[in-house]
Amino acid sequence: MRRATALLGLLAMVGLAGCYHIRYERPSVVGEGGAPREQWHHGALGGAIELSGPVDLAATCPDGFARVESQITFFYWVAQAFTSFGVLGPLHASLWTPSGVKVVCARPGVGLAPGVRALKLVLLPLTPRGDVKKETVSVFDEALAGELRRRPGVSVVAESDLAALLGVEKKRQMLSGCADSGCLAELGGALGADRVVHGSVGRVGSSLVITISSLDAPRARTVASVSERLKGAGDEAFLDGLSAMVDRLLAEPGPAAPPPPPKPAAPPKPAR
Amino acid sequence: MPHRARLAAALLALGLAGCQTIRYQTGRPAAATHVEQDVHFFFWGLVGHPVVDLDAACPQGVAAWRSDAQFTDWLVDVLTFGVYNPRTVTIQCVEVKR
Repeated sequence: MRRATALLGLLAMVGLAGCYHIRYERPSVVGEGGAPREQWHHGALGGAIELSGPVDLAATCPDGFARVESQITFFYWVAQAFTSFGVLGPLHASLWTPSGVKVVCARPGVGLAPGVRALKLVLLPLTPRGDVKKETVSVFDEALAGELRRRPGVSVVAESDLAALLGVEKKRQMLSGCADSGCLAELGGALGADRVVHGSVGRVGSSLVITISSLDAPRARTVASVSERLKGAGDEAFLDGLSAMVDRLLAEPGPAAPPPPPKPAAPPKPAR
Repeated sequence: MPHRARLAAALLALGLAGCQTIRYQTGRPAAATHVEQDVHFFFWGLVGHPVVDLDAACPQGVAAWRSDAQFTDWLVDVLTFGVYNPRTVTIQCVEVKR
């Protein structure tokens, strides 16, 4: 009897610590301080039916997440045990299958673990072309800056920051007529940036044409470029496609593989 | 068909679809391909604290993932009376168009 009590006590203690504990980590991202954000996740029939839908991390952590944990704590376990009656018990399918999800969001504005350096981007205002209004492109600029800032490990200097950093007059001088890669690289270098993001949005007929490039400032060469023609699209199509465009812009090709060593020269054939 | 047998058949069908499912979505576009990783628990999930490295699975970023007991996981779980509880984590990376 004592042994049984001790065993039950031990199981309860272990159970209190939680079971089915899975941790999903992003080691490159620094988490925010404080307690993780907890939420319930409800399932039915052993979790075969997901009652509460997927965990929406974009809504929970608009600046990205660092860590997610799922666990069945003692309370959830009791709830599952009480609803595992009849044939459900041996099938490991409780009628109600709650579990807990803890989310640690990325620390806004930091995002990266120690030792991992943030990628500093200077975002130049997109150039309006065709009959796209300058005011509309300003909205696109803000949206693009916002989307880039959502990505962990990216630090963005946008147009408004440039004015604060350089002053309005110097900013105007530096940006006016700066379109070729040499000038953009110089501008990026002056601001200590790794990349200069620039481009244009225009309309040709009913198509919205978007071109955005990322220039490696120290090397003065374009490392990624996105070119989209959205046929029959309104201006809001830019906003719809923004996330995918930023993904492509930040997915730079890795360093080129070194060329294979030259083959040793074949020995000369003996003259006959 | 007795009531219990019908219930068991229904549960088996649900088991085929995967149980203990939790889905996670980051709101980013997902690639068509996915990465699967097995995680292992023992004694009704009390032993085992697996850690899944999402950076290693998707260097370009993760779009969505799910953890569940697929049919074979569930079958092993039931046949071992809960002593061994495998689970599967399915990860979808961010779609990168070039």
